[in-house]
Amino acid sequence: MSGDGCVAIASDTRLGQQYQTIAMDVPRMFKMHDRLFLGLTGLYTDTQTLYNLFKFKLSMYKMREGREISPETFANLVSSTLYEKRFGPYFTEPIVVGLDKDNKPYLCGMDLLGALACEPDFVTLGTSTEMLLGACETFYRENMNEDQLFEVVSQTLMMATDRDCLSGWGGVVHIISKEGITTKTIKTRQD
Amino acid sequence: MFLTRSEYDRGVNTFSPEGRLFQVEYAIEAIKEGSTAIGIRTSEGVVLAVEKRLTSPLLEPSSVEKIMIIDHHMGCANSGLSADARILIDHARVVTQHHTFTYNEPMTTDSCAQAVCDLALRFGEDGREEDAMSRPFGVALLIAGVDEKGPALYHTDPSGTYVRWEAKAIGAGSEGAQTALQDAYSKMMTLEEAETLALKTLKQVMEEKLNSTNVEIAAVTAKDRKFRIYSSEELNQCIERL
Amino acid sequence: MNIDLSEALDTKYGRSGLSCEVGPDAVELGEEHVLTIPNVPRPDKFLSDSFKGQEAEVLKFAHGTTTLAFVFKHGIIAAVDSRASMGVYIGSGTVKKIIEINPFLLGTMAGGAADCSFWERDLGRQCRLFELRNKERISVAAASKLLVNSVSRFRGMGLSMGTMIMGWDKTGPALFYVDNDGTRLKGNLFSVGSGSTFAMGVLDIGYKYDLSVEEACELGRRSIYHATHRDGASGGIINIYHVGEDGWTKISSEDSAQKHYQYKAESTEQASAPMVTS
Repeated sequence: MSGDGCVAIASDTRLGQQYQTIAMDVPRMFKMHDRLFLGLTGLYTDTQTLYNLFKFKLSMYKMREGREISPETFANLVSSTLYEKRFGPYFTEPIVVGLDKDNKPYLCGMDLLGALACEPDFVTLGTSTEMLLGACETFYRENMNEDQLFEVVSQTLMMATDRDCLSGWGGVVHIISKEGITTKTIKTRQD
Repeated sequence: MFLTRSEYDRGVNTFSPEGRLFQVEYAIEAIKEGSTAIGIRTSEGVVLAVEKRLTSPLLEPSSVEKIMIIDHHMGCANSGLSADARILIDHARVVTQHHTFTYNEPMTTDSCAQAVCDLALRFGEDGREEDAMSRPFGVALLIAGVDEKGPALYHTDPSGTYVRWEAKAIGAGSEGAQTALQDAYSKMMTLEEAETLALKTLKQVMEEKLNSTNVEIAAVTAKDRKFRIYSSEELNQCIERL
Repeated sequence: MNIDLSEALDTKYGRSGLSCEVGPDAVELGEEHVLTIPNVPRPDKFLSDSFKGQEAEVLKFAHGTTTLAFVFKHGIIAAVDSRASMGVYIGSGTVKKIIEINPFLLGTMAGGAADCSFWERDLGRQCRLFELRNKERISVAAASKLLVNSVSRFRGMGLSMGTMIMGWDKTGPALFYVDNDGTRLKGNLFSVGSGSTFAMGVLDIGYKYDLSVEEACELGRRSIYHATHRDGASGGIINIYHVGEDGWTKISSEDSAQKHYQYKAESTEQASAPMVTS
């Protein structure tokens, strides 16, 4: 979700197999550089594979180009990478969030084949995406500052995951602003 | 260097005992036979100017291509074997388009020069790589482009080396031209002054009299980030300023 | 290195000499891009066999759509909705279904969102290379043929794409319909997607070759509006583009909900106005 000169990404921390909860400490968000995060919902093995793949691709990009990748460029890279597996896709739906060089928030979600959907305000993906979207539409305001953004994002995440059997068990929120990254964990229901 | 000619200058994959690869060095020599090309970088953009060798009055001047566009924001001048230049430039075009396709952003001049040199090094006698050349490319390029870091001029040669220059001359007249550029270049130049300097330098080293059919000039500007080969009217205007 | 366009799509066969039974497992696109194909006897059935049910549904992303385009005196009009549905769930209401391939070429998007945007971006790349190599813009006929050639390699493997490629070239305005079966048709009027029947109905009634640009835009807009109204899988924003001699321009981007009340107000106004008799 975007704010004024800041942007937040949040996820729950549950890893499960059907209804059985296997772990409660696996956030699906990865820091790609100081102003860019990648969120990967879905099958965890693909989450791990893709995270490592993009870490590699980003290192290569940084070395070759001598600069950090911009969020928009990164989203396009994720999209083309996913499409390479068009006929046997990774079962994961990524979110790319970050601040561009003018500190403007950038957010983008995509499906498992890499169809980009960029939004100015918020994007949601994962098992409780519909509920998250509803909550976002209710709580979102334009030009929130960092604290307001944190409040809205965590409330949204908690509301949605509390109504989803397959999500919850803790949450993590990262806020990217020009000062840096603030990470907060939120206490949620453990059932 | 020709005094040490020995069996080591026959294969591209064998160093001489002094640690030299003669075929690569000969390829660099090939460029000194080529027509002169000059590139000048200013803060406003980069100018490329080349001499076109028109060996016969019956030759159609427009079919001699010494400056080619790589992408909207990048282009290059070549000296040496034009046939080899075509292959390198086509590679550069494919690579820049591929970059745009994957990242949805224009490729930087540095990356493009690097990509060209990657191909320049892919030669060998074993033929293991399907479409690799069996010999080094006998061509040098001056790549001019604009990216977020501003205008840049790169020089690549058959050894796969690429270096950034403020002003560079390649080809037959390169030695004289380079000295002239060194004397006259200043970082504060405008693009127009660079056009004039490039043509003036070219005029000094060319055997024939410079006119609008035997030179070609192009520029990429920092303002609109577009690479453009000058029309004959624009070229005439530049020549009149001399 | 690939210079020839036909070589650019080089098919590589199975790794260990099993090529006959196993079929291609990777298709190269340009220099580095490789589309991998599952190394199984029937790659086309890989997804549906392995993941019965849920995943097949995800792959139907953005099936509900209304897109249309028609040629008229002053060029071509393209009009589209903006809804992306996954089953009955509205994934996004603000999708850009007209893809700007280059300043003279447009493509519309119906079917899989990823399939359309990927292949039309790939088409953009091929067209740009054509332009650089041949020093002239590619014709619409050739561009649409490139797209057909690209997708034909994957015929029967589950690609989902129904697109209209349009632009202005030496021959004037040209419009082609291209889909994942390898169909390529030249025509003056097409409509693609779940709401196409509704749009076509309105379009056919109002269509004349001699329309002015404004009239043509409004006809396109109205056709899409009626489709968004009657087709549950279409909706959102109505985007209109015009292709003229100097390339395309984006005409408008309006919410179909607002259009609904505007049209409704206009029609009641007309109904209550006194009949003009001559």
